[in-house]
This record gives sequence, structure tokens and C-alpha cells, in this order.
Amino acid sequence: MSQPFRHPDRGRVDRTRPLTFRFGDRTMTGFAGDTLASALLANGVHEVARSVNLGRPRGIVTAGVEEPSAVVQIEAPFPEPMLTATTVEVYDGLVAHPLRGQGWLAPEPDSARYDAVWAHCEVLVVGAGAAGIAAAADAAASTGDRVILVDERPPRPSEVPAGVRLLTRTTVVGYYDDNFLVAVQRRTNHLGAAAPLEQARERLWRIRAGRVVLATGAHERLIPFPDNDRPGIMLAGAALAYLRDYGVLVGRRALVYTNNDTAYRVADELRGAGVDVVVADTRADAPAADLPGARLSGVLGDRRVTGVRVAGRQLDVDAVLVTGGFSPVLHLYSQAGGRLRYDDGLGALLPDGCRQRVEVVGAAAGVGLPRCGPPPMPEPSDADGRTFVDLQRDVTIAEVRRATGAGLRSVEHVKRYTTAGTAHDQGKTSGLLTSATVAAALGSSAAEVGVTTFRPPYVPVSFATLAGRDRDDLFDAARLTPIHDWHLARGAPFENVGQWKRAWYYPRDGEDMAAAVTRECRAARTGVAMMDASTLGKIDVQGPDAGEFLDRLYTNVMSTLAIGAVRYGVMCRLDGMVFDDGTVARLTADRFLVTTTTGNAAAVLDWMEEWLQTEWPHLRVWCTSVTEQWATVALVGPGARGVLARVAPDLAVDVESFPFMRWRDATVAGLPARVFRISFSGELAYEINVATWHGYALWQALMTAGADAGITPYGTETMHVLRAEKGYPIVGQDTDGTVTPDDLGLGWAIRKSTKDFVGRRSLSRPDTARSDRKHLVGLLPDDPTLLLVEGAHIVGHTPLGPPPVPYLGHVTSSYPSVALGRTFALALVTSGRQRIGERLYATVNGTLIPVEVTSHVLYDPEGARRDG
Amino acid sequence: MTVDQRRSPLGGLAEEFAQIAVRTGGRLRIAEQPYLRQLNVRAGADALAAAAATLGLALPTTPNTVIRTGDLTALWLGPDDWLVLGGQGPEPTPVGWGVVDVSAQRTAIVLSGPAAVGLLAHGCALDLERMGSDWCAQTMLARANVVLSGFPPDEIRVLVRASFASYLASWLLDAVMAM
Repeated sequence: MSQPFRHPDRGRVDRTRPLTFRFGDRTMTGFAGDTLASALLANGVHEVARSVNLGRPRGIVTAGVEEPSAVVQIEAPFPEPMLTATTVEVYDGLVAHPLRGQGWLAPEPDSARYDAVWAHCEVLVVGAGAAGIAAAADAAASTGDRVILVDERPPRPSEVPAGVRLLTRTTVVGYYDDNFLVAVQRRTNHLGAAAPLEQARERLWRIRAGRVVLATGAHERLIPFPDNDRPGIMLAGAALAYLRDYGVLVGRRALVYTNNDTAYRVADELRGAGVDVVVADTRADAPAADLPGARLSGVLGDRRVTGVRVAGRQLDVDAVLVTGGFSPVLHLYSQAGGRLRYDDGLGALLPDGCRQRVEVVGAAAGVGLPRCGPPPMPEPSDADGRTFVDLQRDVTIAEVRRATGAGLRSVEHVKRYTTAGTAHDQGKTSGLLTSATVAAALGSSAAEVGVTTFRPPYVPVSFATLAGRDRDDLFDAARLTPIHDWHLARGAPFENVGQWKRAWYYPRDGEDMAAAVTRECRAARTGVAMMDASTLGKIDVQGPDAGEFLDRLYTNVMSTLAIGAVRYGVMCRLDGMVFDDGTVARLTADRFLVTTTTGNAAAVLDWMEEWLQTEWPHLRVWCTSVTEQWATVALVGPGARGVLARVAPDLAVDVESFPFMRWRDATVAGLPARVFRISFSGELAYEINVATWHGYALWQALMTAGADAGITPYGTETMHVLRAEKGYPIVGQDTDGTVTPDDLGLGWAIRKSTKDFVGRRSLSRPDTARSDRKHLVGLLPDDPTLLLVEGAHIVGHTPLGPPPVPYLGHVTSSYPSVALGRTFALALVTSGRQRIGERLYATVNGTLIPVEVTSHVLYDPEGARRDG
Repeated sequence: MTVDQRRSPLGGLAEEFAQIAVRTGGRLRIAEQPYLRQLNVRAGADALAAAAATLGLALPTTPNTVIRTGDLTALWLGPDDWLVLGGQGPEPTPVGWGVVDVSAQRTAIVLSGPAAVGLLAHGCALDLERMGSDWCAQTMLARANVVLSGFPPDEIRVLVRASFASYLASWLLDAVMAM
């Protein structure tokens, strides 16, 4: 017979819509509106899982999120591990399996969409029970207030007050400062394979509320007794919920085991539905009980309860319905910073004041809960190892007593020792039971022992939900230059520099990276080449005190710069270590354009603002990022002047009119441009800046104008090689926050005058002034084809000898060089400048490679090439 | 005659944006407003009047508000920091205050229609429903830094850095799918 435990007319399931699902190897039917748990119970299935450590059969204990036991694996339509059968809604085609503790993740990517949304309201009500609906109605009566009512269950036929925004299947999982709450809405999970693909499966709500009303109800508690984990043993309130909501009888003959008065209402209603009920009450003074003053001392049956030993008798029952009182659901309240106090009358923790604007109503505040003592604890016995406190973690009374026996006094320590309360359910039904067990063992009280801290999330949340739409291409913002499409069309691979995508190199047919870079380097040194340098950080610094301001930040003096001139500059942190480098151009008497490294643009602007706002507010200086106002193309090589002359006929490009380290405003390819004669390669070079929206046109015009000369686009790899050949350091690659300007061979850029700058005092410390610091030097492997590994350690001897081996430094940059006809490297080496000409050894793949120490400037040390 | 050689960051997405109005039955319209003139104005309290006079507009001193003067719109970005939209011509010459033409730094994406606020709520933490009229804000939209400004009844202008525009457009198009 199908669904033998379905009551003929009770419950709210839709009997016109039968659904077929599979659990384990059985195919069963349920109705629309069923949870997996209610459908299984309707089919007489209680055993749905095995316990994680002991492998004991486990059943369904609750009818909601607090479920400690019925953890299942969903197989289809999409695999999901460790869901509670009490919260999975049944749909056609659902396939689930019993679990033993741990499930398995899908090997294939989740194709469902997830998203997130922010919401703002004056009042947020959590829980749409009677108290929550009343609070929402009350709040909505205030004109103009936005009221959001959140409920974890599917929509119910209850009345939603007008003006209230209701979110169903939505669980608030975290409550943070400033009334900021996070909720997870399950939007299409219940549709199974029929879920529309474009709709987000789950949505993360980030809710900011003026005030919060928690109407989160109460969770019923278990009572410890031997074998209290057998399938068929569940909470009394759950049995009632299965009857009322789903029309399901959890058994035919039930023992209700209680320490409070709610049992009698449950017993009456179950009897009305045709269940034989015996009530055993632990209290001696329980006139309505069939068995007052009773103790449940044993359970018969292994994979399903078949009987109990209670009050010295044996009863045949197929269900044991337990109520050990109620714990108000105060997880969110506690997360919000709310204090809790133990109420002896209710045997439960109640809200006791919170620093945030939150109130607790209904059962969560203890309203309507029965008077109830602490759970009756069994005397120590042989059965302690079968008397469970936390079902999911297989924690028994014996283990808790072992913890207290080992000297642990705090519930937090007991939790970590036993793992009680650390499972998916975070001890919702067992937390107070653990405390009571600890209290009993210590001869203390639950009030004194307290409970462990409630931490978010209230229910498990999948990583996919937290990621939302921030995945794949939207995982992070990719910053593109205005010339990006050209690089893409040309087949350039991209290098990530911060969030920027920079063209790495431009392979021609059949070229690998090494071949492409060799060709690009050769073009820059012998012909003409160009690079998209738009990512370079640019900051407009203006105001009457701009020169003074820059003097304080750079190690060299900027205020003496002539209008039209450009100077290389280095910035230090307070500790005297190199922070950034770049160029400074004077645009007018009180206006400068500063360039920074690509990766440091925002950090340099922040640094400037920090000094202006906190230390030097009297300086009249304004800094504005113009990084993306300007697209920049570097035109490089002996042929650069000819190409520029062709596209900028009105610009005098001869070396006398336009010398090195000068800038000019000009019309380039018909575009308003600012041209800088600066070089990051040692070759004759121009950096042409146009408005970002003209960047693409400039690039194309230069490609056309340089076609005859074989103009070659080059990427960041070639840039790195060219600059390394000249010994130009890259901050962050050749430096690591422990390197002074002098260490890099930039002592010439440190002013000799006494005028102060940030980092100056640190540079005169004995440690920063000593001569045996690590210096940036060049390394030439004896074997000119051998490429050192960046990061390789450098030592002075071979063989190494016994440890500790004196370590002299490491390789910071290493490339093959077509200009040098060999490989080379830059390295930071102890007393490096004093070692020029010496032989040292670099470690490569466990062998020691002999290298010669040279100047860090390996190519054109005279600087003969910069004027073309 | 000079040829306009400009290329806007989102020029290639005009058709995709136009489809949104069709898809949503007009509840949401998205369009790039390229080449909007933008001046970043910096002035201390002592130079505020001089800056306003030179620029020919009023500069708001209430945080996160906007003042429109003719075809110019001044957005409050900070206590001494404004963004002036509209108008034309070269950078004015400041005396005792600062100005930078940043017209090409950001492009504008204009969202309008009753669904605009709801769409932005997927990536913006601000309470846009209660902003009132003539507001602006510097904030994050998804993972992009933006300057938002709102114009009644239901138009919101998103100013985004040129390099982030492509990312943000992808994000918007993806968010529309979920509506």
C-alpha cells in the first residue's frame, strides 16, 4: 500500500499532485508540499541515515532546520551533500541516499546561477509564526515604513499583513553590527530539474534594518536515556507537526516521554488521529500521566523502535515522542550581541538585553512555553555510552563525563573535547542538554554552566551561494586599456598586473614566447617598436604648494624642475625603504604630473592623501588620479623619431628642440597629445599620451605610420627584458620592502641638501648606511645559455660545506637577452657592488651554477643610445 | 574638417543595451552616455566662491548632493572635492583652487525606468530607494568603484572608470538576466 501512514484528511499537502522520488533503492510517492522527511514517514520509513562514528541506524528527530540526525545526500538532479531530510522539499525526480555523516560534492561545476541583493527596511521581522505576523502587521501600520518579513518555510496560507514584503524559504543566517543581517533564500531548489536556468537558485540577502523583531520560536529538546537515538524516537512537537502540516502519522502506538505539560496536548491530538498513546512523565506530580514519576530505562529494536522499558514495564510501541522542554531560538539574538539569562521556571535561556535595536517576541521570548525543569539526568551506568547528547557527532553522556573527569570545566572546552555542538546543526536541540550534563557532572547548574557561543551561520550555507555571481568572468573586475581589443585581435596573451590585463607578447604564426620576445626586443633595440603603457599610474598634483609637497615625498628635489622638464623620482616609506618610483613632469608653475608603477597607482595616491590630510593639511595641494584620463603609447627604438615626425608634423623632434627628459604638447595623428621624452629601455623613446577615448586611434595611426619601418608592437615581457638590460629596477620585483634607494644603485637620486623628505632620517641609521647591505647587481652565468631561476639563492662557495651555509642573496630578475647575446640576471647580493668581478654560485635545481657578478647596468652603460 | 576619432569604452554594446528595454517591457533602459565632459574641482572653503564664479555654477556643500546650473551639474564628492558634469571648452584657469579635466577618465551608464533601483540593489549597498532627488554617492557597484547620481523620477547615472566599464557592463547584463 502506498503511503500507509498518511492520514486520510489531515495536513496541508496537495493530494491532487502526487510526486515520485527515490530514496536509497526504493521508489516512493509523496505529495506536493511534503518534505523528504514527511514523505518518508508517510511511507513508514524512519531509518534514513547512519551515525558518523558508530554507524548506528538513525531516524528523523524533528520537522525542521534543527534536525540533528536525518542527514541525506541528494543525488539528482544535482548532487548536494548533507542536507536535512526535514528541509528538503520533495519534487518529481528527486533521488536521495542515506548518509553516514559525510556526503560527496559534485565533481562537475554547478551550472545553477546564484546571486545576491541588498535590501533596506525600517523593520525586519524574522519568523512568520503568529507572533511574527502580528509584529509585522503592527510595524506596517506605521506610515511609510518598509517592513520585511522573513520565513524559512515554504509559503503558507497564513495571512500576510498589507504593506509587508514577505520572503519565504528564506533563512536569516547571520546577525551583525548596525542591524545588518544576512539571509539565504532558496528560490528554485524545490523545483528540482524543472527549475528555470536563468533564475538564481539561491539568493543571498544582505539586509540593513532600522530595527529587528525576532519571532524565531523555540526548539524542543531531547531527554537523555539509553539508546535514545533509535529510529522512531523523535520530538513530540515534530510528531504533531507531521500530523498537522503533512497528514502523516509517525507511528500507531506511541510512548510520549515528557518532563513538561505540552505532552498532554500532543497526546490528545494524536489520539484524535487514531494513535494509541501512553504518556510517561518524569515528574512524580503528574496527575494526567499514564505513568507518573517514570524513567525510560531501555529501548527495544535496533533499526526501528519496537518497544520500551519504562517504569519497570515493557511496552510495545513503534514511536517514542520525547519532550524535554523548549529552548527559545536565540542564535541571532546572541550573534547581535544580546545577553541571555537562564530562567529556572522555563528551564531555558531567555533574552536579557542587547546593544542593538532588536526585540524578541513570542516563544523566542519564552511566551507560551511550558514550565519545565532541567532535563532529568540518568544516574551513571553502563548505558552511558549509548545515551546520546549530540546525535550527529555521536557524543554520549559518557564522553561528556570523560571530559569533565579530565578536568574541563567550561562548556566551550567540553565542546572542543567532545565535538558536541559542532555538527551541521550546531547543537540546536542538544546545546542545553550538553550544558545540563556538564552541570550534573560538576554538581553545578545549567544557569551557571551556560551554553557555548552562537556563531553564524545559523544553518549551513553553500559556498556557491556566498560567491553569488562573483564567479568565472565576474570573479574580479578585469581592467582593460582602450587598446585592449587590438591586443586581443592580434592574439596577445595577457599578463595580470593587479586587476589590469596587459598584453604580454604578440606571437606571430608558429612563434613561442621566447621567439616572440626575442623578435620584439630586437625591434626595440635596432628598429622601432611600441607598447601600450596606458596602465601606468598618473596623478595630477596641483596647487601653490605642489612643489614643496613633492619635495617632501621624493628623495630628490622636484620644486626646482623647469616647466617642460621631467625628472625621475624615488619615494621611500618612513623606514627609508623604496616605496615607488616614476617620473615627475612640471606642467605649469604650480602643477605637476606624477607617474607611478602600474600596481602602485592607488597606493601612491592614498599615500599622498594620507600626508596631506593628516600631517600637512596647511599645504594647498590637490591630488587627482588621471590614470584613465590618458592612454599612453611608448614609441621606442632608433626609428622612433622618424615615426613620430611623420604623425606629428608640427612638432620639432630633433634632439636639440626636444631633448631627453622633456615633454611637449603636440598634435599627434590629428589628436591632442602630450609627448614625453622618457625611456624605460635606454633607447630613444617617446611616451605619447592622448585622451583615453583616442587611445585606439593613436595606436592604429602609429602602426600605420610605422609600417614601412617595420614597427613592432611589444608586450610586458619585452619591456621587462629591455629595462633589466639597463638595470632599471621594478619596484615589487627587484625590491621587497627591505631595499633602500642606494641598495638599488639609486644613490644619485637622494638629495644632498639637508631639506627633509619622508624616509630621510631612516636612511642615516647605521644599518641603512652600512656598506655591506644587499646591492642590486648583474649576474652572468658562465654558461651563456643557462637561465637562472628567479628567486634562486646565491652562495659564495662550492661545495656548500656544512650548514649553516652563508646566504648572500637571491636572483630577482632573469632573462635571455638578444642584445647581450646571452642570458643574464639581476640579483640582490650582500656587498654586491664590492663583489663585481667575483665568482659566486646560484642554486638551480639543486646544482650550483657559477656566475660572475657585474654591474646591474649591462647594456649601453654610457647611455649612448637614448638620443637615437 | 576633423574626423571624430573617439572610441567609447562601451560603444560596442549599444545593441545589447537596447535589447534590455525590449526584454523588460520598458521597465529598465540602459544606455552609455559617452564623452560627457567632466571636471574635477578642488577648492578649500576660502576659494569656494572664486571657483563657483569662474565655473559659472553653484558648488554643493551638503554631502552627497547635486546642484544643477543650466547645463552644468556639480556633484559633491568630498569636503573640498567636486565633479562638474556637462558644458564644453578647455579647462578653466584656477586661482587658489584646482581643476583637472577628467572627461575621458570615466564613462557614464544611464539606467532608467522603474526597475533601475532594483537592478542596482544586486551590487550596491546603498539604500537607493530613499535617496530623494538630486543625490550623488561614491560607492562600489559590484566590484567597480563608481560615482552614482540620481535624477527624478527614476534615472540613475553610473560614472565608471574607463578600464572598469567593460567589467561593469558584463555585470549589468548578467544581472538583468536574473531579473
